[in-house]
Amino acid sequence: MKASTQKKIGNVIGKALMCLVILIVLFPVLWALPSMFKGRSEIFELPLHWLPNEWITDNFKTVFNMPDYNYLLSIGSTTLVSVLSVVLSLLVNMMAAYAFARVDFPFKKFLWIYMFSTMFIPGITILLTSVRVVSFLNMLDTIWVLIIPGIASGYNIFFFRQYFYGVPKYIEEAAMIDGLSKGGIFFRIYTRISTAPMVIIGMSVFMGYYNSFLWPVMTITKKTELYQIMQLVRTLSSRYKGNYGVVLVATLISLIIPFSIYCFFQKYIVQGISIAGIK
Amino acid sequence: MKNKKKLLALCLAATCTMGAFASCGDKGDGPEAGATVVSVWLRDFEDWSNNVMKSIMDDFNKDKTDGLHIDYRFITEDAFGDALAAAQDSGNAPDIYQVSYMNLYSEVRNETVLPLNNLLPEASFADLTDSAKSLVTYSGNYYGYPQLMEPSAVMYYRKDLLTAAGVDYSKAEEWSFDDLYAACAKLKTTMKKKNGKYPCLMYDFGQAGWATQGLQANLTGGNVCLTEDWSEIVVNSKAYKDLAAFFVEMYTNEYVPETWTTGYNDQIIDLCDGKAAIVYTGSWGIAEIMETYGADMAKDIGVATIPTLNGGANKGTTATNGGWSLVIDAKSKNPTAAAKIIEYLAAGEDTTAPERYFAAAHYSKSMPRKRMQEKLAQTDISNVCPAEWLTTVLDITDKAIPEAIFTYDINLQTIGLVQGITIDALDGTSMEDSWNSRIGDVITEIEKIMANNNLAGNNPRLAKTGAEK
Amino acid sequence: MKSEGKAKLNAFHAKIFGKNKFKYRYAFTGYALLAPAFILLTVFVVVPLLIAIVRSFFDYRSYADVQKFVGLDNYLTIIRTTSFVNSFLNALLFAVIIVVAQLLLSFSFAHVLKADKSGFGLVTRAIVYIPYLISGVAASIVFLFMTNYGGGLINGILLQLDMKPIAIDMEKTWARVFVILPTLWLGFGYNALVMYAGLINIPKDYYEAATLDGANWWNKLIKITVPSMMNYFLLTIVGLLTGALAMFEIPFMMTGGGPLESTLTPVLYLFNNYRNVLQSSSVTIAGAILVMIIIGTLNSVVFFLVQSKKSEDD
Repeated sequence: MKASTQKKIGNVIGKALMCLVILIVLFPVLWALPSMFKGRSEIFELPLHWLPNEWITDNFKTVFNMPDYNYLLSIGSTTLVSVLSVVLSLLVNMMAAYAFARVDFPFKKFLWIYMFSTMFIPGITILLTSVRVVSFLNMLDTIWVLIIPGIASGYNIFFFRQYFYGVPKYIEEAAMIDGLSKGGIFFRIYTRISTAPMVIIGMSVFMGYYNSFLWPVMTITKKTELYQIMQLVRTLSSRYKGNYGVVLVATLISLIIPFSIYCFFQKYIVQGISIAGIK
Repeated sequence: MKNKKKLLALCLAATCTMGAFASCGDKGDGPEAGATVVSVWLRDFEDWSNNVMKSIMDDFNKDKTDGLHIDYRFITEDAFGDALAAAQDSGNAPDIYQVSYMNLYSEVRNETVLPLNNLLPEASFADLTDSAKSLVTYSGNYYGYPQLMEPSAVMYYRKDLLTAAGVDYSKAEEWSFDDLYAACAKLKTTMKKKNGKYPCLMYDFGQAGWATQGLQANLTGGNVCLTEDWSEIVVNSKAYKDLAAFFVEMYTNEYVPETWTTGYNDQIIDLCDGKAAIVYTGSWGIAEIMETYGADMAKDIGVATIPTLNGGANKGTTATNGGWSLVIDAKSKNPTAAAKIIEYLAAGEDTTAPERYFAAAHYSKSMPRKRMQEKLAQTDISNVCPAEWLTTVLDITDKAIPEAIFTYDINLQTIGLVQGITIDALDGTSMEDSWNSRIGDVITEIEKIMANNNLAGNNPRLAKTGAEK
Repeated sequence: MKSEGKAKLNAFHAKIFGKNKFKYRYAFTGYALLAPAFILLTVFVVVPLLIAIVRSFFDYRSYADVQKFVGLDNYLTIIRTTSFVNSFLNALLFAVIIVVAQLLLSFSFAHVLKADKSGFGLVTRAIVYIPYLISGVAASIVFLFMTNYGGGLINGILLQLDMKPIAIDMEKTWARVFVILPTLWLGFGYNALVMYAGLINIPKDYYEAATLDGANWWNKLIKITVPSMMNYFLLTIVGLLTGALAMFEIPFMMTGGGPLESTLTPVLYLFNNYRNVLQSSSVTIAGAILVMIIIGTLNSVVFFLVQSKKSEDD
């Protein structure tokens, strides 16, 4: 009897805590949402009120009718860049990770250290010199300069390698007896049993690309249709300092794409983190 | 399997969209066949400014017979420097870009810009006012063509709000610090913190490094941080104590908010929105008032020279002449074509571009060229902005000095000292104690910066006048 | 035909790999799978790094005809720069606070999640992850909105209560708080999920056995939970440390590094200095290489610990 009441109380406290955390987590965004519809004089008006007294859509008009930037086009091109990058990144890094996890070849140890240690090189160290490299390769002002340089990642290779280590070897042996080649095993089997880590890494690659700001500023100089969304958000946030509603509209609308993608893959991500974990 | 199909579908969708993007790349105004394309990078400023520059350049591109095409780009200030550094580093610099008068010398020293003497016609430079000319001249060469000049500090006040608080603004032009304090004290009763309102917005510490230079010169009698020949540091002086005391007074009495919400460049908006009754900002504030709020608001606004320690009718220097010049990159593949574009945008004999720009700016910026100034004197501009504003601004411009061209880190150190003292004062430390504990470190830091950059005694502006004499 | 080709390949293999020919029989496939990542990393990471390293020994001016070799001068200049040193101290402070706070918060919350037997835990897990989708720029914009001095949420409440509003431009402590808070907010959900994963992967019978031995919850925590999750802790620490030392977007947007450099981070300092035309970019690059060395060293130490821990386990 006593134990069960204790348990019940524990459950209630647990639920209350979870509700509190959910509230804290969502609060900043929820608080900002209605202000998208506030006029510039109302937005920081005291006393505080959450909902606007007068609902206006001027802020949206400003963001969507910018004469020099096309907000929706930027969301589109940023999404395109991010999706392509996710696909390529998963392919390239998983291939490498599989090679490291399940294939033996000379200089493996050296190659592993070589590729793995690239994850400790901060972007700021190679900022200027990377632009020089992509310029030498004639990639500036193409969609490829936004995609290719960030595809391969030491950390992602490391992550997948750890995951592949956990895949039982007998699966592989059975497949080989069935006559599959190493490449065949990777493409037919490993890509299929790796949904969870693929979704987790895929999401983080997507976010990395979707949120990039400095790299596009430096590498896209002429093609306005390739301007990335965070470039616009930043431009607007410095241009409309006195009109925060506009800044909020630009910021919050840009979150719709990652949010919807997350909703779609949510189940995989949340469960995936527990399955893949860190080994 | 299902997974793979999904991936495939995504890839397909992506490729399709990419095709769409590729096709929308070519918009109407592409360069004519065989035309020389000149790239121009400008700062992303207020909407009106971007718009007029854009339409000026679009009009140029409409002419398909001149064999020239402008490819322009606007970049926000916080990314401009890094983007330009990367572009120059990788050999992709634009042909023309904007440089502030403050930074032009650094570019000259790094040899990143071309002298324009032989690229632009002699007449273009002859037409410049002396002060404009001095801003772009180093060792007798012209390294940039001035686009515009603007005094960095002007006081704007709301007549209606001052009246409501019982402040007499008829002598605002002659205000001293004490007059400002008195006005703010009265305004505190009507502009309440509790309602998100403040009597005044002067310099925020993020921008004060350059924005206060005019006031610094006013207090020191012409110097900013260093003596004119850069041989000595003048920060350890009564003038800078007065400067710090000014900030301490304004902050500790809550005449200004402790944290700026808009920032120096844009705080005219807070004036128009009624969040502050007195604001300092550059002359560009005029354009913002007229563009965004219009003549109705203008009636309620007065413009004056900023208050100084002693006030009075003739305050001398209270602002710096900031502004922007156009330069040609030293590695431009086509400097002659670039020069043609600068002629169109700013320097030419009969180009209308500058007039269009200054009209759009509501004449809030001062013109670097004599011919335009003469023309302006004969034009009736009462419908674009109140005439007395212009008189005041012109007067401030006349007495303004150029922005300091030594490395900006020195300004940051100086204003850091002032900020430190203000913070200490808010915590209850006396000004004297705080000054004594901080001044030594600041001087050491400035000395270090001067040594690293070999500045001592090397003001290039003086070297130039020496050579000319 | 096919088998003939295979035989040839095997012979070729045998010739180059000698006695290891069986072990290395799939070497070519391995190299082929590795090649794209290897090439991309070399071209876009290693080559730029090598150029940067070389440049850090020159007084590099992109438009000068001849570059001057200056040895270690750039490194000496940067470590003598007070702002750069301050930025490191700030980063260390941030790193310690963020690592400790984030570990405690996410580890405790993971227990709450684990204890939940209803479906609500699943919903919670899905929601807490959401901030991880938001960029530092966007998060800063939202937090700036809340901390606006004149009428943001926090100061709005304080002003209604006739209290002193928080001034992040003038109070070092608050400035630091409002650089740390958004950082914690962004990463909390993800780290809690990782910790949760660690918790549920601990075999139940460990606890059952301990209960039989009469261990209380504290003993279980110290003797079972923490040791079993060592790898999770270490790797989370690596992630948080690297993140904290490379902090950029949030201080840049929230405070610009102020007041008085109290929130200046190394990366923010370097970002601001690439554009400094008077300072040769190689001094900045030298600073960036130092940042890299420090992050690399810290991580190597942690990885070494993880690896040695693993070999103990094996």
